[in-house]
Amino acid sequence: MCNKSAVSFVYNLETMLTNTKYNFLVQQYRNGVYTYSFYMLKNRMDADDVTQEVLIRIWKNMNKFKLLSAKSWIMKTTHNLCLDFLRRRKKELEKNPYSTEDILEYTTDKQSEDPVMLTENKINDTKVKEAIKKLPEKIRSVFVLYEIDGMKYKEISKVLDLPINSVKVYILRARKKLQNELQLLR
Amino acid sequence: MDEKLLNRIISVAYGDATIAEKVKIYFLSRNNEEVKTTLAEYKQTAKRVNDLDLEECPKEVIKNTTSITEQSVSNEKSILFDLYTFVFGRPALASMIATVFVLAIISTFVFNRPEIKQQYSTQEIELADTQVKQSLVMIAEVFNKTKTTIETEILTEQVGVPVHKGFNLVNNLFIGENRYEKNN
Repeated sequence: MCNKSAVSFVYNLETMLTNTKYNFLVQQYRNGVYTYSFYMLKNRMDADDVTQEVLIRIWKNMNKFKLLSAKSWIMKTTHNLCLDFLRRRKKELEKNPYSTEDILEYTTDKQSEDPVMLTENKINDTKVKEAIKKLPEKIRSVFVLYEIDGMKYKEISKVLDLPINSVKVYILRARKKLQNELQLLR
Repeated sequence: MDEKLLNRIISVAYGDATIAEKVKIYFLSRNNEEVKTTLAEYKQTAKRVNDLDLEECPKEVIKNTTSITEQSVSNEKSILFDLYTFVFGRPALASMIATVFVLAIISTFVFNRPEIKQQYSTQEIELADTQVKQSLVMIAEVFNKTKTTIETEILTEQVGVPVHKGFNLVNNLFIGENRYEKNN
């Protein structure tokens, strides 16, 4: 009887700790995951799906990573899922060249606009976001992780399996490209 | 403008460069109009990029995930979770708390030293001093008495006399032997 209650106490404690860890991770990284997915997939609906999938995977793999290395694990999972989505999209486009993807992307982005977006700052934000989305996939991922998600060179190299020097070169290229894109948008 | 210089300007504009590099580019931009314009343009873009916030994850995503994992994510937070997030979720707060802890520990050592209380009054110390002197005098007397006893009673009477007797006995024996030889 005493053993049973002890086991249930330990079980409850473990569950509570797992829940706390999960909730903490979700609170901490959900926006980062969503932002990365959004810039990579250029589409809010797909970003929703990827974020949801990442959160579920976090829950399923709670015991497979430590809290300190969680960020790398989460962003790596996000990156891999985004790549899967992009590959799938590419195949769909090959099958059906008149896909509604671009229209959908346009409408979803337009839907997110509200009157406040009409201010100059918001217009600038939108322009920058559009320019970032136009960057090539590989340098876009590095740029978003570094400049928007605020990750360090070492973390990015871990997440994307790239040497640190390549990360630095990609960031530099992305900055140059972004500058050119913004000049074209002016 | 060559590629290397452009790379340096970009690093300075985005704030990655070292202070020395920043100073060099700053002085270069003062003399070179092209460098100045390029730096200004890149700085403007860097600022716009830095101003970009993270996209807010829709609540529906969290809700859907919650239904799948059967977890309360955002609405039903436990007190433990609140505390955990409050303390560890914000680096600034965590570092502040760590600093406060360190300061508290240091101040404990600095200000909370055990005071050395003066437990005896001056009179008591004087009394103790006198008692020590008296006891030393008593000990000296005991030593003196012991010295006298050893010199007078033990060495002279109990050691000296038997030794003297022993020597006499030996002398007598030798004298007796000499007589016997002379007689022969």
